[in-house]
Amino acid sequence: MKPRIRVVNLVKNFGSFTAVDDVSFDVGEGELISLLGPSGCGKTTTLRCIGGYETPTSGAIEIGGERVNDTPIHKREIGMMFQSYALFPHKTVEDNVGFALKMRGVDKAKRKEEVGKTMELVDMLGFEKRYPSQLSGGQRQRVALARAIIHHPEVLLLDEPLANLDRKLRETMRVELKLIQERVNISAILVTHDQEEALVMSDRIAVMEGGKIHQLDRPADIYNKPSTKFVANFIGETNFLEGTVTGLQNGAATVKVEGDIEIDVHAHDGLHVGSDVGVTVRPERINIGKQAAADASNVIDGRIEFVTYLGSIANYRVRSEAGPIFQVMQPIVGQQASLSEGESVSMWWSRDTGLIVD
Amino acid sequence: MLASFGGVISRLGRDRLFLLLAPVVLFLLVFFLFPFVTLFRISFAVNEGGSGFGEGTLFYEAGTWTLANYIQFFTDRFFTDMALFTIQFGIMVGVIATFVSYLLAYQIYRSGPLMKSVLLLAVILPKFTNIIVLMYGLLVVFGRSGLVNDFLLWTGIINEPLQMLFNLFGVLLGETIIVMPYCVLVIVAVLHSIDDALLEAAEGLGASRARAFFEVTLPLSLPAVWVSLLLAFMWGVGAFASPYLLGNADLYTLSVEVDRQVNWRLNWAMGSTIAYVLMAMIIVLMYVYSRLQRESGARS
Ligand SMILES: Nc1ncnc2c1ncn2[C@@H]1O[C@H](COP(=O)(O)OP(=O)(O)OP(=O)(O)O)[C@@H](O)[C@H]1O
Ligand SMILES: [Mg+2]
Repeated sequence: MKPRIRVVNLVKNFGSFTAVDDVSFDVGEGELISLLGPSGCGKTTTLRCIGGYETPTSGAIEIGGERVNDTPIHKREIGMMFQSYALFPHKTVEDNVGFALKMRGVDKAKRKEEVGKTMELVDMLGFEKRYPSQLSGGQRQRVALARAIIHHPEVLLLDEPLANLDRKLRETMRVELKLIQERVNISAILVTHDQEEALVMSDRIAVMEGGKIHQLDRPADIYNKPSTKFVANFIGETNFLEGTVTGLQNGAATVKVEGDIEIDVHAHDGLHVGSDVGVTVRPERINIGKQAAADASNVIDGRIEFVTYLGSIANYRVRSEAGPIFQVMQPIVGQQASLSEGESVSMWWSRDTGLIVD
Repeated sequence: MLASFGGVISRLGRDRLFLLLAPVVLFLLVFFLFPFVTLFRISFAVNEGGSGFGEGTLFYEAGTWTLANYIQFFTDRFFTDMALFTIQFGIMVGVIATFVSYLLAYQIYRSGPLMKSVLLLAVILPKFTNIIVLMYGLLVVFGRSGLVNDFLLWTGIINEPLQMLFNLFGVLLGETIIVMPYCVLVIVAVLHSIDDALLEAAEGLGASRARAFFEVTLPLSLPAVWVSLLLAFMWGVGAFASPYLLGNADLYTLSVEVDRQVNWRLNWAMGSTIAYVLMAMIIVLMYVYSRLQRESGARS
């Protein structure tokens, strides 16, 4: 598949500060890529470079196979959706949505027809004559989306498009936005610092920190195979343990971590005895009970310090006898968490559960 | 200071707090309302020549009231032409000052922080000088042997000095310079209130800079344009210094005529009449303007 957008070694400096530090990625046709990371990591700046709102310090931006570094904003085939929606307050919904066509010299009748089609797509028929101030937040969002896609741009740029909606609406809109994006088969780049949003909507996620991309992968791989400690910590909850490799045999490594606990994990290439590594174990992959199964591996005994009841799941904070604290998450069967504070318990997990990260 | 003020308040008690307003009310009564009413009365007085305003004439005294001044104003071509010119002048000032101010305000809006301060200062600075000094300053710049003429002669663009003052151009120039700071500040404030994301959105959707200006910036700054037009128009209608110092007898406005009636002809009655007609004119025009504006606002 030919990439629609290519970002090649993009660097953006503001004075002596580097906001985007050698970022490269491709977006395939109809693919949605998320830029995910904490505040200030350079997501918006990357997006604005692609849109033409910032001039890259170095590196290249290609849209539809053409280098667009020197193409002014209005000549790039982009559709941008702003966090604040940036709807024109003095224009009707119809004129907002039809704006890109008007700029392209499309005549009135044709414009009306296209606006109608796009309004139907975003489920906003009947609101044409209203002004943005007469719409709810969710409706404005749909109008902003319609306005950004009506001219079939090469790429849809979304900067935290759902951040201004309340939680409930945000969850519905995630799915709707994704469905519409798939239906019109438009390549899209989504900026967000909400990991759930990224996991739900993306074909691939680029996890960023300090202007760099840590990992670019499918959501499941980002979650299950984080390549760095930062990614493991940023996406979901995790237990992170630092230690030294003490043994290596047929694809398995033994890592001795804090409290002299020995953990067996799947080993990857280039690992040798004596390497300092980090091990992450997802809390929901850890088994917990009064007694570990007889053939269990990685058994650690401890006491429950605190139970957080979350409706469908319970979150246990367990202090192991050797010292380190573990987070363990278990679905709740019945009405109460099956274990309670102060109980002595065992935790165990299979060798493939833990993961070595750099 | 604050404590003693609080003390006063508590001693007065809540229901007598209004007494604190007494000095202000007194001031307004003596220096504003009293002359206001007196002049109104004088505009209906018989002009007796001499000191002019019927000294000692009581407010009520029978036989001293007349409509003659108003009748004369509305039947004498001299006055009606002048009233017409005053309105035309106001409209010209309104349009010219608003147009020039918009250009300047837009420049300020688009400038970087340093340039912005410099330009704003340049706009406000003339307001720190006396209006008469300002007008005479224009003589130095635009007079027959002023800077502009000297420069144009030196470059050879012209052979004869241009007459830029003591004609309509000069009067408009002077008045525009007087009102421009207000207009610029109003427009700059509104331009800055426009969300930058709107312009970015317009450009992203295919509008060039110029197109984005006409589609977004201009329509959203129209309220400031209306205010500026009104402001400059009112200044223009009430213009005194510029027509008086930079104009000629054909370019005198009603305000100038008030001065001439009162101080030169010693006809206080006619002077007061003109002042009141001028005020009525402004009120009516403002009313019409606000109606027009509301209707155009309701349509869009
Ligand atoms: N115009 C600018 N001038 C100077 N520094 C800037 C400018 N724009 C952004 N930065 C800096 O660049 C860094 C990255 O900013 P950016 O807006 O890309 O972050 P972000 O990842 O979008 O964060 P957020 O999630 O808070 O929106 C920040 O440290 C920011 O302060
Ligand atoms: Mg951002």
